Amino acid sequence: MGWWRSLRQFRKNIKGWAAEARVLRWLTLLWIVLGWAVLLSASYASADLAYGDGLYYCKRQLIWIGIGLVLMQVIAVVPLRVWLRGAPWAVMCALVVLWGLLIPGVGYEVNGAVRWVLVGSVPIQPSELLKPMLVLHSAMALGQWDRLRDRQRWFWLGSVAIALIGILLQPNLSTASLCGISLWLVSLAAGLPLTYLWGTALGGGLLAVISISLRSYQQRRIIAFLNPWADPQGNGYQLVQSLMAIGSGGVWGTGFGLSKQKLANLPIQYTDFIFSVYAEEFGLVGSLLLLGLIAVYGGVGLWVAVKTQSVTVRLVATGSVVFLVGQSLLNVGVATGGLPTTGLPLPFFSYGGSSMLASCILAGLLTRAARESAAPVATFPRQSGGSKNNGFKNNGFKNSDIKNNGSKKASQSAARQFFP
Amino acid sequence: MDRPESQSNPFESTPDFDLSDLGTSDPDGNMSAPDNGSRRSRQTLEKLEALGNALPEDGSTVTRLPLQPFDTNPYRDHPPRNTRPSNVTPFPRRDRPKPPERTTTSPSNPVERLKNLSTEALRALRWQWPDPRSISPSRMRVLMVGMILFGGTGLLSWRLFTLQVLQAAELQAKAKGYQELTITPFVPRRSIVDHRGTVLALDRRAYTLYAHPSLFKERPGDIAEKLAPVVDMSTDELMRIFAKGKTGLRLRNRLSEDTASRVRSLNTDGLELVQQASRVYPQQELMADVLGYTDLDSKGQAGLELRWQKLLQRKADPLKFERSSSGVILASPGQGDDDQPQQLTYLDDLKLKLTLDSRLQRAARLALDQTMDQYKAKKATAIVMDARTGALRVLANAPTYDPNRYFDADVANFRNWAVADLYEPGSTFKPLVVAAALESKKIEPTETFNDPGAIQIFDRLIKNYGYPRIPGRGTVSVEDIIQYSSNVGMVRISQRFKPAEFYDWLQRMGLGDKSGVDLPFETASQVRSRAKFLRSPVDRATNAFGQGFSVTPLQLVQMMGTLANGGELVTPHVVEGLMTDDNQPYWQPYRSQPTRLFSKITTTQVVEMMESVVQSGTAKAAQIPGYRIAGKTGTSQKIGSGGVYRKGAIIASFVGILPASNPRYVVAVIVDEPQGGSGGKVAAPPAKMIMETLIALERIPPDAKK
Repeated sequence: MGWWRSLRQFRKNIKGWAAEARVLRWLTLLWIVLGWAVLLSASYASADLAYGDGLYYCKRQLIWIGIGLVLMQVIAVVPLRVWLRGAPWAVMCALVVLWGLLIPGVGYEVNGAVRWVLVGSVPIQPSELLKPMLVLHSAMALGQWDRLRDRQRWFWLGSVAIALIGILLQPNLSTASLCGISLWLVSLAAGLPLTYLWGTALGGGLLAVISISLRSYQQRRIIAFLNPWADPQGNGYQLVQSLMAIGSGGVWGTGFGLSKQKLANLPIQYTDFIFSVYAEEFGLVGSLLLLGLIAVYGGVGLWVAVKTQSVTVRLVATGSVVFLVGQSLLNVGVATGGLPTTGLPLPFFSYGGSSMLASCILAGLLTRAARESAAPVATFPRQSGGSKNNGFKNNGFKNSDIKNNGSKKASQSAARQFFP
Repeated sequence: MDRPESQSNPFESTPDFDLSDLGTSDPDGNMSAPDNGSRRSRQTLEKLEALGNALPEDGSTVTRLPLQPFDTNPYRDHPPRNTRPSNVTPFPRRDRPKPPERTTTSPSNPVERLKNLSTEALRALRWQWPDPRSISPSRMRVLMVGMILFGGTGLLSWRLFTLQVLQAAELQAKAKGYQELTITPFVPRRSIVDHRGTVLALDRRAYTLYAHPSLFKERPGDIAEKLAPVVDMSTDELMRIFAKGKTGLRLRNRLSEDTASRVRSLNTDGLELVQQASRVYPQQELMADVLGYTDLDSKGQAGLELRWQKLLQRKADPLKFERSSSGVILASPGQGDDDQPQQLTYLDDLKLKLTLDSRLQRAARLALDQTMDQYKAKKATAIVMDARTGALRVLANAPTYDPNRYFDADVANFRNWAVADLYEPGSTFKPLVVAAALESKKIEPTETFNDPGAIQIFDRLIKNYGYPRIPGRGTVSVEDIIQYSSNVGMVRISQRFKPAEFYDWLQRMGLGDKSGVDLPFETASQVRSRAKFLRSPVDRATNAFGQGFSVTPLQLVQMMGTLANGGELVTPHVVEGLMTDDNQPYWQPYRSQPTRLFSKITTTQVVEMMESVVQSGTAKAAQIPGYRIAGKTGTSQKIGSGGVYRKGAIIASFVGILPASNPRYVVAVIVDEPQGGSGGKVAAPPAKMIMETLIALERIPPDAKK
């Protein structure tokens, strides 16, 4: 297959990328840099208290950012079909790890939830890394939905369901519902009949209700969300502190590094409630600018999705946007008290390796989708037109990218190969 | 979603296809070869062709749709449909009932037509479960996703605006509550000490015990049983309070530190001890009228505690710290490290020192109590003033109350009669009129007057006390007039004044004004208006012997003070000032300059005349062997309702000046409504007791015999 050949242009030819791809790449970099700066402010005090080193989290985050940027670039230079082909296998592996966590003693337990698996001494959250895999997996299945056999459709549905249930059992309602909502939006974009989509939404809602009714800590969170001031020292504590932090910011904010709530009142201020620190330090203006950045990111991503000719590429772009932007909105919604308090990280802001890697992979997929959407020559030219460029600019693709595309082997759907 | 298979009439089924099916969004939009093009595109193509055929052939203005460019789709990225293996059968089509063939001629009956129409419409509207395998990707769907995401962004922006602009102030205030720890240190109210340094009032830490039954972890009955012996309440009583509410029930006030620590050692949830200051008055009711009392919030409610609230309540600036949720106090910017300890430790030790003497006061109270018992009087007051400065040595009322238990006291007793209530001074006022007459040279000290015992003034007959039982004394000297308290003689003296002149004198003595004492709720004395006074000869006559106007007991003492200090009207006061720990004055209240009324010669003459009152006149009961004492008694009738003098209701009073050889102290005892008796009989004996103590305490040397 020789897909590794595309890695050769790892550092070259970015100027030849499509405009959308370059814009997305810069927006991602901006988002990452901003996120790291906010993490520096948000985590310094608690890191200093916990480890005697204020930069403890920032240094580690920097390593993850480095790995993430490399991954992002790798993904952006390798054709999507390569990743698409690998997605079902990766999902299967992830499912094994995910369900393996549920065996007592395998996972790494924090606060009563088994969400991490220790790789060496580094805790990795498989549910985070599952997110980009689900995007690819779903894009491939839904991109050729009407040509799949029934059992292939059931295979996709089943793997998604098993993944969601596995996350739900950790328990991690927030990630499960994020994945559920995002996949639902991807399905919406894929054009599945609305009847089924609404049915699924209803079923998902019921599932959430059942999950909440079974776990009292989730019930308490819901009650605390409805009126946090009723119990400001107990269940409403996190939300109340977050609201006070955001409110303290006012219009212009207290200034970078000058949040008072982050000092100790606001809990987990460097992960789930990092937005509250940001909003206190940069005020309404800063918050709206960040929302603007996220909206522009989503806008460009969806523009890519609209523009592309390939349903699969469109779904990859939509899925990446939905996961990155949707998760950001959910996080901000939680911090501002618009949604029940759940533990969702803010992409590129919150401290956490798995989250950073997942976000970078999603950004890489979106960038790649942007490149492929701009390429007028599809990855699977039917006729011998592959070498002819059809009169369009090549947009930075080397012939090696598309050389083999005409072959019969590659033109056979990836679905046939990797769906049982 | 669902497409009917048949299109018999292209016009009829126009909604069944759209041009976007031919568009680039369709992944399998390859239409170049009819055999391997997609079914749907093929159908659409057929429809389009049918549409084209339906158009008039000759109409050259009609442009045929450029079908050709749609036929080849260069944007395909999927293999064409015919690559599906032959063993895979495409999913079966759902068979739909075909709509009935439309009859070319519709029934003439409109009802029939309507029936036909409704059946067709119903068929068309019948909802069918869509094929779960069908898929119709379109850009609209992506836009729907975008709308959801941007809608969410918009909602969040509004939420942020609400939080950071509309609710910002409220949230900031709440955040401050968490971030800042305000400590109001226990700063006791200043102590009050008497002239000799005896503590009269001090602050002590006390605790109020609250119960919050909603937080009880044990049965209320058990808690009540445990608590009852500690707080000295019965179990039933506690249970009754517990039943009153869920939270914030006050069980006991002013628990001592000892009791509080015993309550704490019970380790019971739902009990709360709130620390507060509690004012303690070690001398109990001794100085109550002067000191007043403080409420539970340490706010003065009467007496000095009220009048000097600002002075006594030490300002304790609340200390503000930034703190974390774990309670750790954080260093706050802008405050040096050395500031806060200073702020914490600085506390001055100034005391409020009074001019009162608690030993003399005790003697006065004892004397008053005896008199009250003996004569079943309604109330009584005793005042001792150092006339040289106006410093009050005694200010005692009976009955009084215990400021430690002010809540049990009779509210009427909170009124300090000596400064708040008016009475007619009667004969005790006579020496002042004599002094005024001497001072303005209206009379000579040696002059004599005719006293027939009664005198007709306008429409009233003014009589001496006891007339006609005691007949008129005939020719009397000025001294005799004072000694025998001759009303007629006083009228004769007052007639020497021009009316306006006499009124001026009354005003200069302070009638109509307040004494200016540093106690709250003082009442101004009352006197006839100038116009009325000038019109009425009766008023002029009665005023000469202390009737027809009213003063407070304290103001009478103030006026008599002029005779004791050589003619100056001083301001009576009880506060000496704020004293440091080593008894150095730190602050003293402002006092106005005394005004001179009489010359020293005049006052010496009047004091000598008053001496004869004690020596051989109405106040023999006040004689103290070895001491020269000047005095004057008064027995005035009380005015009841309607301005008529009440029979039997008298005010007995005695005002003494000692030592007469070198006058300094004014001692006044006024008894309200004694059962029988007169000023000399009722008020002089307690005054004598007070003066004896005063002599002993102030070490006044005995006088040489006159």
